[in-house]
Amino acid sequence: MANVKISALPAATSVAAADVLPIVQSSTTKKATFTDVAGAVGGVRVYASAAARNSAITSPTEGMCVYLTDEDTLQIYTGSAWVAIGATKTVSGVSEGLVWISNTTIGSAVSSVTVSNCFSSTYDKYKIVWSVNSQSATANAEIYFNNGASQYFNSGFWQAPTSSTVTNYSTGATATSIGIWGVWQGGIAAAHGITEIHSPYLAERTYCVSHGSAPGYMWWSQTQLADTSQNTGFVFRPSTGTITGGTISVYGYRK
Amino acid sequence: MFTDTGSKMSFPNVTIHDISTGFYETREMTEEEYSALLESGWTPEANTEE
Repeated sequence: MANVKISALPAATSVAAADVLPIVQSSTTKKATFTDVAGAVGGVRVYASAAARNSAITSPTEGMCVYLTDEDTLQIYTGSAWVAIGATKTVSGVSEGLVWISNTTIGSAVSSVTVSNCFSSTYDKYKIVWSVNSQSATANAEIYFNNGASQYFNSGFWQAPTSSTVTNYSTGATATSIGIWGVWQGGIAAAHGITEIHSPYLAERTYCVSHGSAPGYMWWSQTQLADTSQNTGFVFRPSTGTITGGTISVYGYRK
Repeated sequence: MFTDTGSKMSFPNVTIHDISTGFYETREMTEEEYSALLESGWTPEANTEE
């Protein structure tokens, strides 16, 4: 059978499986030439929806490729299902899960890092992953939200990596409005941590669960911000002294 | 204050990153920002206090 250029196919009529050039080759499918592939750039068949695709292609074969405009997805048929290739912000089943929002590089000898407008209605749950290259003093790692004026409750435990002793702590409602969620040891190597945040942007309590490690400490903690104000950003800082270098990354969990 | 060199008081730096606009800078704090930082509970490390 002769090769068929996808770009040469009619745009709005039904298409048989034999008329669509498979992207994935097998011993039983047609061989693609350079011209076919080049033509496919503008010739991938476009459908308004999965329903329109299914109506037009009733018997797909493995390797078929289409584009759906309602989802903005490029899809390939695996032999048993249509699977989206790549990701867009609106693709169901492809980019669900953790979505990168921002990276902030910590400057030199800073006492605080402000990350603004990273929380929005797009996500309800967030993950902050941070690392600090060096610090000037032994300190707690702290985070507070831009509109969280008060009522932070903190508790958790920490442990030295060389000891089996676990030490509990609880701050109650902190007078300084600061969420304490970690400890690092000053002057030696780097520290890093992860905080999961629930509903910082919603008009309800904000909940955080954190864990992290530094050469001298490992910690696990939880923080509740009883203030129900909506927050759009946060400040990350040491409780004392300054920090230098490292990165604060923010991700959102797709709803 | 954070440090006093005799001719000019200096403050710790601050990194500011606005995700919506892309604005990004690390600079020395202003005196007002430093006062607010102290009021919020942050403390300078012992060997840099006056």
